[in-house]
Amino acid sequence: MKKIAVFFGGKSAEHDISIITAYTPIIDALHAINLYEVVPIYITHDGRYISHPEMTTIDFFKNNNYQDTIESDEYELLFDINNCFQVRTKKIFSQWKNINVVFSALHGTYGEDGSLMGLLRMAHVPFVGCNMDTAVVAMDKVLTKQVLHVEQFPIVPYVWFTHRDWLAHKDALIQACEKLHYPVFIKPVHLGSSIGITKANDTHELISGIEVALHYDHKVLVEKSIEHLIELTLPIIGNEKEQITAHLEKPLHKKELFDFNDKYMHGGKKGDSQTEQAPYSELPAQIDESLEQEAKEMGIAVYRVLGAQGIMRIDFLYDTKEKKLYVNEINILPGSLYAHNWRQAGVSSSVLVEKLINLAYDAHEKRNAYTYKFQSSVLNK
Amino acid sequence: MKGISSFFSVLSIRYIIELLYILQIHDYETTAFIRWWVFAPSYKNLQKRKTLLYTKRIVLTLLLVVSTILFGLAWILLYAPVAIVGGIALIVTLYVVGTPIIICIYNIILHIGIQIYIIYVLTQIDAYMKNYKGISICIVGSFGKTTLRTIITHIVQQEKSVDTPSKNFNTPIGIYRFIQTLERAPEVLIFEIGEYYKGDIDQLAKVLHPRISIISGINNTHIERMKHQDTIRDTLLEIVPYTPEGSLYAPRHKLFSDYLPAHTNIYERGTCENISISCETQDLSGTKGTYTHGDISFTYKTDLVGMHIPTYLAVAAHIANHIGISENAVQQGIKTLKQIPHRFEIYKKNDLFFIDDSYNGNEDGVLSLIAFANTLSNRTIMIVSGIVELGKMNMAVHERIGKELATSRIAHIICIENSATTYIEETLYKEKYSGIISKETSVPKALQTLHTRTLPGDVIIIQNDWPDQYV
Repeated sequence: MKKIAVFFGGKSAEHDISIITAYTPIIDALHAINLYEVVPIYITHDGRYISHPEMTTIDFFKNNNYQDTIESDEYELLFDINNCFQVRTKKIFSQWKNINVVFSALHGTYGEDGSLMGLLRMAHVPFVGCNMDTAVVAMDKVLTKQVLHVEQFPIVPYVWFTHRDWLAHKDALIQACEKLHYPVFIKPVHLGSSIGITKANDTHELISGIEVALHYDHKVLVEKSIEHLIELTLPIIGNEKEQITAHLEKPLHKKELFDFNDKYMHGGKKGDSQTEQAPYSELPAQIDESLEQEAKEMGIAVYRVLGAQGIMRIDFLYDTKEKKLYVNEINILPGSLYAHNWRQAGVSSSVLVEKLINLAYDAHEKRNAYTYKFQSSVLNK
Repeated sequence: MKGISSFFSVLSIRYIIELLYILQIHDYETTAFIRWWVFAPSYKNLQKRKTLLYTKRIVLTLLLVVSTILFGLAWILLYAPVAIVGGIALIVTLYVVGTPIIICIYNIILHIGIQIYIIYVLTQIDAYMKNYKGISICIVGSFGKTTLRTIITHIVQQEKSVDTPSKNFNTPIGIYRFIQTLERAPEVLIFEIGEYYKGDIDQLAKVLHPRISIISGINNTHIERMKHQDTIRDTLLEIVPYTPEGSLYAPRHKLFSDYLPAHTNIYERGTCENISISCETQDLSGTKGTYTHGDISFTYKTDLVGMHIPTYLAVAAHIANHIGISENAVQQGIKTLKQIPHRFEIYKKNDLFFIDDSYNGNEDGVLSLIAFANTLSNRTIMIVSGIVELGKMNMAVHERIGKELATSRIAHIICIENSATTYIEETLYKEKYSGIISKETSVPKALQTLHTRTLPGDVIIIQNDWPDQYV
């Protein structure tokens, strides 16, 4: 049976979300498909790589004492990446396992940002999801906007700066931000799951929001808020040849800012049946056909331009007053793969995971088709 | 490594509990228990899906076994301490091999005791039923007893007081316990009689004095024990001598054709004598059709589904009329029938529909499920566990089921890994089934992974008969 390593956890603010994504749906689906031996690779907050035999279900992490279980180095991993990707634990008599394909569920830094993809490329092992270059662009909200702007996609006006810039040119930056006209959104550039995002209606709130964002990241983005807004989100899977879209989804939220708690603590995307809160989103989004078509076409174009492969989610902002659609953000590892959306669109989690693995193999084959040798005489000089 | 693990599994104190669990799920049959013990690869963690029920019999057996082992150890300590010095391994071996033997001995002794108790119980039942002035109805059959009992009870209850054992108390002790709970004698008593061995029905029918008897169906259920279909037939027909003329109901079946007494009420395909119940539509919301009895005709709708339902409704209606229930009451009864738990039970959970037939233990029932699935426009996923106790017919029956599944509209079949579904799976591949075939180790595991396989609106069918896998 082929072996598939599933990475999750990680040195990231989205560590816990990563654990959920790993199991629901990835590992659960892999167990259902029953074509792979799953090798769970959990990265702790402090960067230890652990694989424990009881990590077959998420129940392991719901146990309050799981940290004690993985405290010893018995289940820490050793890696061999000499033109292969092999792992074994430090436990005595542990055997090397040759990994055939990797599925990363690492959200955020040291994972989704291209770090892991780079390592896996070096190890010449197929991996699910976007390549390193797409990951780097998608992870940096500013870089995303810059690339999209050059490719003439509509984006919301914005200002960006680093922590150093802020310290050196605070007043000038406040002025630049205020030229966007309130209200504005302030975001840490490299974070997801709505962590550290605030909305500002005046200078005081702007400054507070920037301080919060700089707590999480060295780089901050301030963008104009669209007030007459419909948010739309579109998951896509595929590669450069073929792309399949799921449904356009319209997040619904009571507050102005749909934050981490709304997303993950109130029943998630299925809504909270226990407290009878409103569902997370309208799925499929009840919008005009023309807007739907425009968003899907734009989404596919963005997917292609960024050289995406595997799964990607594109977030849009639609100004209902100006009747204008903007590309907002890109996410190359949507939480839980947005399996709930794919399910509504007729793709079960097992089918989704299997498709993504097949795409990983295709991408790997393509990478191997290129020549990486070049005869030169530069060393003979 | 497996052998070493198996060896160490017997050293646990749980060894005795696990052995008793196996004895219980083999219905206390000593030979089946010994056969299992000899060939079992491991004796640990056997209670995966069901757990040991601490019945009085099990508790008593456990106490006797533990007492014997402790007594044995004490004897060695007091009178043969040298055995400890030289023979720890011998003591362990005695424990490992001796425990199942001790269990068997006590099992046989208790069995004899239970048989004596049953003789007493039967006299008590006989005494009660001889004095009972109401109508007693007995149901026997390879399948469908509980469904038929539930339908008849509900319809008759519209106008008469009815009592019937709430669980499957279809043994002498179960029926005796039920009778003891009766505060006053109802107008109608309805019993199921189980047929585990030849003579079981005769034993109970003799003391229950049925005024009406029904044979709910005949097929290969329990053929492993009965060995031959003729034996199953003869066992079911044990009810006949105790049933008044004209009060026996039986299905039209080639096995019965020369054996039923005159004036038997024959039923088939939605008719029972002069009552006819058609099935015009059947879907997830229930069954609709027309009820006709002479000049009386009305449209009916019931929540129950399955090919057998119109026929059982016809039988129940005929019996109800026979004992004086009005047509209005029959109509009302049919209309208000509720789903029977785990018997073609349909319910919705989140965005999925479930057909829970997890007490389905017969080939006709499985084929009925598949036929119903073929009528649905929803995408269907079926979890199949196969059927137990088929003996030499195991392969043939499961190949037939496999063939039906292969040509069905079911989109995805999840086979629960066991000896029965191996034949189903092989047949699916052989017949080039076009859907998805998956395997799971248990029904609960299959249900756990359902969320990864399903789409909104899917219908999940659960067929399951293995005793340690009831949902």
